[in-house]
Amino acid sequence: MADVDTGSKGGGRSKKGGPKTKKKSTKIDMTAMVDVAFLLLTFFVLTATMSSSSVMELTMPPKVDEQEKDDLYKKILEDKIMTLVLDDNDIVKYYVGITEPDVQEAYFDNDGVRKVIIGHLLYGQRELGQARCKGKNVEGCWDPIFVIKPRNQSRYKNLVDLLDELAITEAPKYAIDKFTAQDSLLLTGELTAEEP
Amino acid sequence: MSAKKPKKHPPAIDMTAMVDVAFLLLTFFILTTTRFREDSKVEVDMPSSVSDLPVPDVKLCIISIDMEGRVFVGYSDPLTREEVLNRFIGEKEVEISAEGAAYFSTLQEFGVPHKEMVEWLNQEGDGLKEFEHHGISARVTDSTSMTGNDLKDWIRWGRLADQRMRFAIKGDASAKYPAVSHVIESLQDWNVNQFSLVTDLEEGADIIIEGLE
Repeated sequence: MADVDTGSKGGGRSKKGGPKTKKKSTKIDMTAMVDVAFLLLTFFVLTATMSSSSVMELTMPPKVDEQEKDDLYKKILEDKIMTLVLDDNDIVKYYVGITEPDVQEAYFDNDGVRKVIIGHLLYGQRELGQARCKGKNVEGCWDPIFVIKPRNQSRYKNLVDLLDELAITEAPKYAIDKFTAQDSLLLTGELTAEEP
Repeated sequence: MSAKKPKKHPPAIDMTAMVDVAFLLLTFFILTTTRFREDSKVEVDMPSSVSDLPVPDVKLCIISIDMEGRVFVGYSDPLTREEVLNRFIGEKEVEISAEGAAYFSTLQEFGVPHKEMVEWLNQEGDGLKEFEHHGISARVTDSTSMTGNDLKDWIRWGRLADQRMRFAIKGDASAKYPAVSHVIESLQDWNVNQFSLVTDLEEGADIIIEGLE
């Protein structure tokens, strides 16, 4: 048990006097090593989650009841509110204000929604001579508000695209709201509420 | 007279360089692999956005919505998964096998409504994996009632497991809006007004806008 090889028996052949052993090549066969390396490599390549997903922060206004919301909207200067309705087939219908607004259409292309948003952002400066608001509660400056109202047929992609456009143009205030019966009356002429 | 044939050597290739390259790549992939791809129950084709904020590195609850509007819930942290399941067992007063509980904590996401949970997690072996996920109901029936909206329970249990839990919505690009609306409303019913939308990074989004500083 637990013998210690003193080296006096086998392996002494190369010592003085013994017959010289043929020198072996120092080359190692690496084929097996390469096999193992590539096997592991394949494993890690396949399991690696190389996804480049990112996140978009979204803050919703706290829930309030409809009456409160109506009162809230009335307090705001109508011209500041632009409503963007997400409709079927990637169409955005938009209008400014609340009382008898003029409904127009835009698409998600280079000259579409972004131009509309920028136009509204710059409206205060161009038409009213008001600079854009910086900081909170500044009187007499332009702080437009965008309200997104997705209809039931619209796709989630449109919502993200629109939020993206608002983020790109650095719109200061935007919110997602419900598409109500009044909106339906305005857009289609029928007073029908859409229950999601 | 034919010349003496040279002694044939077996063709030997020097593989040293190849080994070098292979190990270099191997090291790269080992170091960049942060998390292994886990067993995924839902396929979501995320919309792209220019936002380049990384997914927050905190305990996260991801609510996925697939193409057909089915809702799935996933917790990023395996310990949270265990705790959340324990809350489910405690509140619904049900029994779940140890095998089922262990399997549950390995899942990246699940989409089984409350009434099928017990049946699902008491399956054995492959039955656990093959069980069909129909999606969690998220329809807001009545904000005061606890029934009819299973998603709200999962949100609450997630919150109880960790007060600082962040919520993220991972929706399929072609999911219809109502499903998304239900999820947002469910979150807002618990006063979760701030959450993240998980998107793919859109490349080449350097946009210059004239007229805006």
